[in-house]
Amino acid sequence: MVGTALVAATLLSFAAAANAEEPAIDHQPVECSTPEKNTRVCAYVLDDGEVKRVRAYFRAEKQEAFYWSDMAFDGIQFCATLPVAKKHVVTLEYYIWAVDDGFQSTRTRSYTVSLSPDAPCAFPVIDEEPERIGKLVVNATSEKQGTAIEEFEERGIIQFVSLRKK
Amino acid sequence: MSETPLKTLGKYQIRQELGKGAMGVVYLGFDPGLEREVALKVMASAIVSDNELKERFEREAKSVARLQHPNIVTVYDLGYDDQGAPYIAMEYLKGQDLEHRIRRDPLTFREKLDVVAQTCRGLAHAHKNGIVHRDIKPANVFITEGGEAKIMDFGVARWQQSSHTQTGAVLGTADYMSPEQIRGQKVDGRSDIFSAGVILYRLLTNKKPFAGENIQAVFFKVLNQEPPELVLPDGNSMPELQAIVDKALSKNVDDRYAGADDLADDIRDLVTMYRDVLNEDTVFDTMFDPAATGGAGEETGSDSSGRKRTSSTGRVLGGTSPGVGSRTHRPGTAYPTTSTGKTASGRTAPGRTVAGRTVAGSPTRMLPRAQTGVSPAGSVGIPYEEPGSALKYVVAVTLSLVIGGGIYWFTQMRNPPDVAATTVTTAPMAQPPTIEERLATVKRALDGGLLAAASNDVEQILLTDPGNAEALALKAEIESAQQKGHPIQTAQAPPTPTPNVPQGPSRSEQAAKLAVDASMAMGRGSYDEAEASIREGRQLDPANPAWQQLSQQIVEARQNSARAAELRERQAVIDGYVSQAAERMKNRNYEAAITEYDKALQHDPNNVQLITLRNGAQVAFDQQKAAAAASAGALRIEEGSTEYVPPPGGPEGPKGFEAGGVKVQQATKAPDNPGELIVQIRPETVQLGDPYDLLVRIHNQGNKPIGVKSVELISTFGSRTTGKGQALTPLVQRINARDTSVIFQTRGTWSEDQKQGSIEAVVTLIGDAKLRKTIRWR
Repeated sequence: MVGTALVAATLLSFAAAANAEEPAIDHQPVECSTPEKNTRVCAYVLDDGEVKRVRAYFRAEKQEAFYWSDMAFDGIQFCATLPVAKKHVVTLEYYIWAVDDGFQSTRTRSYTVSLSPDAPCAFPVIDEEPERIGKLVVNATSEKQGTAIEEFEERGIIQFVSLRKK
Repeated sequence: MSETPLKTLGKYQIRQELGKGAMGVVYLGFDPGLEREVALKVMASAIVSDNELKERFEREAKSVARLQHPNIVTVYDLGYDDQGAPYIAMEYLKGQDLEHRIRRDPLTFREKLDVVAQTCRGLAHAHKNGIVHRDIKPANVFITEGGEAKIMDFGVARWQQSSHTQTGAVLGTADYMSPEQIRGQKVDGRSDIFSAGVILYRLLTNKKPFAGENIQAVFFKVLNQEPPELVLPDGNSMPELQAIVDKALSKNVDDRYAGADDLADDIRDLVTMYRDVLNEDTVFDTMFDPAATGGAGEETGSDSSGRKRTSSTGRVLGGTSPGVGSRTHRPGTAYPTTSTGKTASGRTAPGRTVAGRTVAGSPTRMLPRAQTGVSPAGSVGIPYEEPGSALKYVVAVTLSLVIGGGIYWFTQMRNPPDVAATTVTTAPMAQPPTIEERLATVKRALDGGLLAAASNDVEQILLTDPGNAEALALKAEIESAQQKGHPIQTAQAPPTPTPNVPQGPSRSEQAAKLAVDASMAMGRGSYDEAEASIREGRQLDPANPAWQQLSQQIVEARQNSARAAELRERQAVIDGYVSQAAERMKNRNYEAAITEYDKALQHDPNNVQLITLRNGAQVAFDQQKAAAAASAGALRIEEGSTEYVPPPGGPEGPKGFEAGGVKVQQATKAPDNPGELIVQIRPETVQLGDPYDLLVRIHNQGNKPIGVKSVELISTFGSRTTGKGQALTPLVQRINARDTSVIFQTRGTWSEDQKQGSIEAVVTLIGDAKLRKTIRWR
């Protein structure tokens, strides 16, 4: 038993040495997007170990709780495609969170995306790739969010992962 | 005519000015009645008062109106404006005249022959209608957009039976004039055939057959010399074509084609003969770079051979000439051959001795200078006026007999500003005496006891007209008088009683001969010799104004010659710089090339060709600089080798390869790894903020397909990485043997963090073996 504990302690210390820092997120904020389009959020996520998860947390204006989607590695960056906000939604809020194989996590500050039709976006970051916008998986962060997503269109969402117990 | 812009002209509406010519302005008009566009040639107001030119203008309309032929521009109408100035309404053609066409857009070999054949068809029609054009030249042959040749500008034409066809007055364009035109003799359709032959020669060689430094030299050559042998741009001769040209350019009208149709038929036969070896695209334009002649004018005989040519078609005008000996030769087109099958000029006639011969040579095309930036001949012409150039001179040639024996001289005068540059116009000139007048002179000489002069004159008449009864009678009378010891007198000295002693030429005859000698010497460029003749002639006949004119011509010719020499010298200097520049360009040393062009431009600042070449070098230099700048910013990528990682517990080498024990032929011996990974960042000149592509390829070097399960791309910047453990789905999962496929591609934006780093690509194959490769950049 003692030997096992020693081995485990040694491995943990080694892991800590090889993975001393939390992931670094380098993100160009999305300041505006096009209403009724899927906004795409990407970030470079670097780590001294292995980046295990990267998520985009988002919500519409006036919503209390965030939803989240996994950001997938595209070979260079981690990216997520957000669902289409409903017509009356004029701003989104989002941030990016990452965790490494040492369970060290980090997040960016929150960013606001303008969706106002009165202020057309010069450089919208939208996703029009059918393979992606038709296979969205959205997760809830609160039981209060119920079993259906609110303030966002359900089209393209193949799975809404609720926290409400069935 | 009013100087204000015309709105209508007679029943025609004026739409726009098409151009200005020798005789006036040409407008695009519209005939509302027939609803068709017409070309309206309006006589220039400045020359309306010139009755002769006006008559010539009207003559053109009347001449052409008699002709309806697809190869002759159709005249619809002759009218007069409010001020009485005549205008001609004629067929509106779209295209350009042959002079412009050959300078701008080289014709194919077929087209060249076709244009001349069509021209001959039109000429034949005119000749059959009794009209001789008398000024056939490329500028008077219009090439429509559909490729039809149409003869225009019959302003010089005369009806064959017209009393206007007197000797003495010479009309036509010097370079294309027939010998009989130059001599001021009566001309017929065969004179036009000669001109068509000159066009043919020029089209085929880009050289005028009788090029000379001045008009006298041109005339001398037309009268006395054979044109240089026809050498096609590929450097080969073509005997059949040579014979056709020789026959068209025969100095003796009787040796020429009897009719223009005959020339057209021979050209047609030639094309038929070579149909199987000449495709439509065969181009013999290698010696004719339109840009090359734009400024410097025509080559004046200098050979352009030595220009580098490249084959455009790869074809050879060769193989056995089909059917040459068996082709039908119609009466009237027979070539005057000797028993050895040679023409009078010693050249081989077609269809006689050349059957079955092989014409070798490569139809070639030379790169335009503008493209290469190199002057193929190493020469950029100075746009100077070659002394005596037909482009800048109007020549009035007067054949006049003076001082009893006759002096023959050429008068050269400057071109009035509004007269066609290449047109030889009428000018007041002495008419040679008729036979009747000369007989009267003989009679007077005989009556006056000038037996020698009378004898000489009558001999001259009999040379022209051996059967002239009156001349024969006078000759007998003179001989009788001489036998009787009739006192002999001369114009300068009292007669000396020397009966029965043969008399030498009279002073007037000697003077006439000296004048001719002087003219001929000028034609040869032997000015000292010409001056000597003039000095001698002056002593014999000081009062004759011809000496002054000849002397003046010598002065001008010397000046022109000196100017030409100076320009040649300058040209040589420029050619030197251009040659250097071309060498620099070839070596991609564009900056040095610009320097050379600048040096050349110092000698000829307005030379458009030089400026163009210089600009080309500048563009190349700018591109080179831009490329260098981009190269400086390019990523320096170090590429490792592809590592094969066997699957856990699997064989050391991949299946299907050496290590797998599969027999592989030596020649296709596969490497240890089944596939080579290729990881690329594109572009390598990516700058901060620029998009870039990351591509991963596999080149399957083996003999079996490679299956790809997943791709991992681990980017490292400093001590941090991204992408580790993130399995990416490959774009393709199977790479066939010897094939290369992109298995992954993604796009990003280059950021500051990526100034230096590395990407490790790990491809997991079916069976869990891996291919691994790392690239590093900084």
